[in-house]
Formats: sequence, C-alpha cells, structure tokens
Amino acid sequence: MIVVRRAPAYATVQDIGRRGFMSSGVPRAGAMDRPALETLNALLGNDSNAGAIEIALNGGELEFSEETTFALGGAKAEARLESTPVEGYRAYRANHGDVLTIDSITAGRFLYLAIHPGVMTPLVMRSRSTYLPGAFGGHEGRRLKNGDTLATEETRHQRRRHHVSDPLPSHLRPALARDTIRYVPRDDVADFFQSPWIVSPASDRTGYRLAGRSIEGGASITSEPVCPGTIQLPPGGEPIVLMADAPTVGGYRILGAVITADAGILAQMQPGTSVAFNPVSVEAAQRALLSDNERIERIREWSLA
Amino acid sequence: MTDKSISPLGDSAVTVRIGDGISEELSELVVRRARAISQEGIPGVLDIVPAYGSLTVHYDARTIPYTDIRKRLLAIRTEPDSDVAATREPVKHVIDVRYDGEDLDEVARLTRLTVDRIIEIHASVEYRVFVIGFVPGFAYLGPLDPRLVLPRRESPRKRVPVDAAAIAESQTGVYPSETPGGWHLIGRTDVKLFDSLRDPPSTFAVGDRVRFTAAK
Repeated sequence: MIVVRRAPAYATVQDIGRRGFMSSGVPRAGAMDRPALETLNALLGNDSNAGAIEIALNGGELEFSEETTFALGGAKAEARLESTPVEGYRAYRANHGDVLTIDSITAGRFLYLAIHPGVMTPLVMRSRSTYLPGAFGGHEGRRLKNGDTLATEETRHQRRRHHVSDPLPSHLRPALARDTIRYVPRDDVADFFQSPWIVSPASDRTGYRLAGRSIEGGASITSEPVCPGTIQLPPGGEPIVLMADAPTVGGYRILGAVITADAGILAQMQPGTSVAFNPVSVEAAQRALLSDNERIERIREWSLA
Repeated sequence: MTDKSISPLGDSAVTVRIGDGISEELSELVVRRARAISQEGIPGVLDIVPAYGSLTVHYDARTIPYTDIRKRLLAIRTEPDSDVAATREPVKHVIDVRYDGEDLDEVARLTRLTVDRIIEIHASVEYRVFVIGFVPGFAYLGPLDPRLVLPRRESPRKRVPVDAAAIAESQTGVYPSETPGGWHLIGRTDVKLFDSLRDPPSTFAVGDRVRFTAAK
C-alpha cells in the first residue's frame, strides 16, 4: 500500500488511457507523457498499461507500507527515499515504512511514480486513468489528497534482489525536450509552422493553447471527431493542441495532429516555452512510433539482463 | 468512397468524410458506414466515432499501418439503402423532463412564445442523436423546431446543473455531468444518461431517436 502523507498539488492515477468508449463521448485520458510511463513500466517489468501516479506542480510525501519497488521518470525532480537521493529512471526498493519525499520538479511538467507491479485502483471502463472533469477512474475519480491509501497490485514475484538497479542508459530514456514538435498536417496553413509559438499558461490536461502570435484562417466548423494531439485553430487565430483529456469531438478547424512519439515531449513543456512545429508524413510519424516501441522492448531486455 | 474522402488525423486516427452540413440523411449515411466498418473487424481498430458528416476510426498503428487501414476503409462499400447488420440497432428513448429550467422565462421572452407552448413544441418532436461528445454522454439532438431556435447564451454558465435539459441553435440535449455550458436551460430529468460503471456508459448512441415528455 502507498499512503499519501503530503499530497502534491496535482497527483492522479493514470495508465496509458481508456479505449473503446469514445463513441459514448469518453476521452482517452491517461498519462500526459505516455513514453515516460511506458519506459518506467518496462524498467520495472510491469505490464505496459500498469497504473502509476502522475504528479505535477510541486512535490509531496508518500509512504510505502510494505516492501515496494518503484521508479521515478518523466519530469526531472529532486527526490529522496528517506535520506537516499532518488534519480530518475532507476528502480529502488523501499522498505516497510520508508517515505519517498519529492522536494520539487526541476525540469518538465509531469513526473511519474511507477511501482512494481502497478497501482491497483478499480478499472473503470477498462482503465485506471483518472478523468477529472468526469470525476471517474483512478482513485475515486479525483486528485490524491492527504491520508489517501492506494493499494498496489499483489506482487507476482520478487525477482529483484538489489536495493537499487543500474540507471537506465540515456539512449533508452524518452526525450524530455525537443525544439520542434512533429505533426501530420491535414490542412495546409503554412503560417502555422513557419515560426515558433509560446506555450500559453492556459494549458492543462485537456489542451495546450499556443500564444505569442495569431494566424489567419481560424474558424468554427460543424463538429468533427478529434483526439489527443489534434491541432485546432479557433476563430481567434491562436491554436490549441488537444492533450490526453481531449474531448471526442471538436468544433474548430483542424490543422493536423501532433505525432504520438512527440506528444509526451510537448506535454512536458512549461508555459512560456518556445515551440516550433514541423510537418511530417503519416508514414514518418508511424516509423517514429514503431521506433519508440522498439526502445521500450529494448528496455525490457535490458532490465532482464 | 473516393481517395479524397479519407485523410489521416495524426498517426493513430483516420477520418472518413461522407458529406458536408447537418441533415438526418447524411447522419444516417455516417451511421451506416460506421456500422459497416465495425462489421469488418479490422485488426487494430480501437474506436469508431461518428459525427455529423464524417467519422473517425482510431487505431493502433503498431498493429496496422496507415496505408493498410486506408486500403481496408476504401474497400468498404455501403449503398444508401443497404441493410447492414447493426452492432447496435437504433433505440427509441422516451425521457421524462420537468420543464422548470432557469432560462424558461427568458426563452419565452426571446421566442415570443408562452412557456406552455415552448414545452408543447419541445415535447412534440422525435429527435435524432447526431453526435455524442463535448463531455462523456452528452448527445447533440436535433433538429429543434425552428420556433425554438436561439443563439447560445452570451455568457456561458460556469456550471450547468447535472441532468439539465437545454436548447441552443437548432439543437437540444441533456447535460449528463456538471460542466460549463452556454445552452438555455429549460428543464431537468431524472434519467441518468451517462454512468461510468455501465457498458456502454452512454444511454444514447448516434442514430438513436429521443422524445421528451413533460413529467407530471
């Protein structure tokens, strides 16, 4: 069990998202930085869809009430297990009663605390992802608060003997930052990708607004299906990139969609970050997705070695 | 279907455009095509979302690449009157509404109709579910009688009460969860239109028919 001793300002349970219910208007939700979550799950030998805790804004304190193997990843953080500093993408074994203190998030936006073999909250529509606007999924459909206890999945096997694993080699880690985000264009609006944008403070799990300039061509349209990554251009001319909690349909002109392999990198950008967009073909986007998938497979081989 | 009617939405979804605008005929074509695609059982397909004149197929690109799913979608033919076996036959729903919405008087003023007449008109039509979205389980129903057509409220409410029945432009619907909203509230229902613990969680599906009755 994990006991939340001091809850971060934002912490929810997320997995890789909810599929199969979009025709009922149910968003995918799931981790904002999916490659980070998948990396941690592979590192710990978890199912790729195991639930983890997504943390943002600030740190907190969590207590392990039994021996637990865990790892942090995604955003960079200052953290310690009791007094031992905790590095990202490295598996640690906590003893009964150990407290994990996350002091602060130092780079990026979404930090993941993954545990072996996964955070056990009830499946809602086949997923453990919290969808806050609908108040369902994860832990009671809400953010974690002080005193919450999270069941961890029954340990299937205890094959880890070391207190701390080797750190995951850097080439097996997901990128945390990138100057340009690739997208598959649908509508050719050259103004969109010719110069960079600024990630607006009006950015959350539903969508990141882009600011710093505005472009012509924004419009309301008859609603069409959208998905995480979809780039919309409302009448005001400041684009919105839909994120994990994207609704299933949207009423603004669609410029294209950010490629899956880069969506997590965009998610990690703090407000004020400059970001440029680079159009690529759907084939190139899928090659990037498959190559990231191979990276995850290599992590599984690495952690078994 | 022509090549131009299929376009990628990123690397994990593809949109099939059937036509433009909003009409029951077009919506019916979209629903039939969605069912035909569902019947195909294409590996890697995760979700099929119908909208007014288009539908989007969400898929796992690790299972099926874009070029292949595009070919499979192009090969699916549905004649306008073909009777594709439905994964779910359209359902007719009757929903009781207590017509006591906060905006009824304002709607009466703006439409120059009496409240009784508004209720009579709103409850006299069998609506079609055109789209589900905005929030889980929110169904865009229409078309609304032209006498009730009003633009959205100038300032949207920060919180619309759950289960509120509302109208805006040529549409009507019921808010299944507490959310911001710009539609005119005309009543409330006790019917739970979305329940995350049900399968399917939404009472309505695109293509269903809905009639409202004034609760006694």
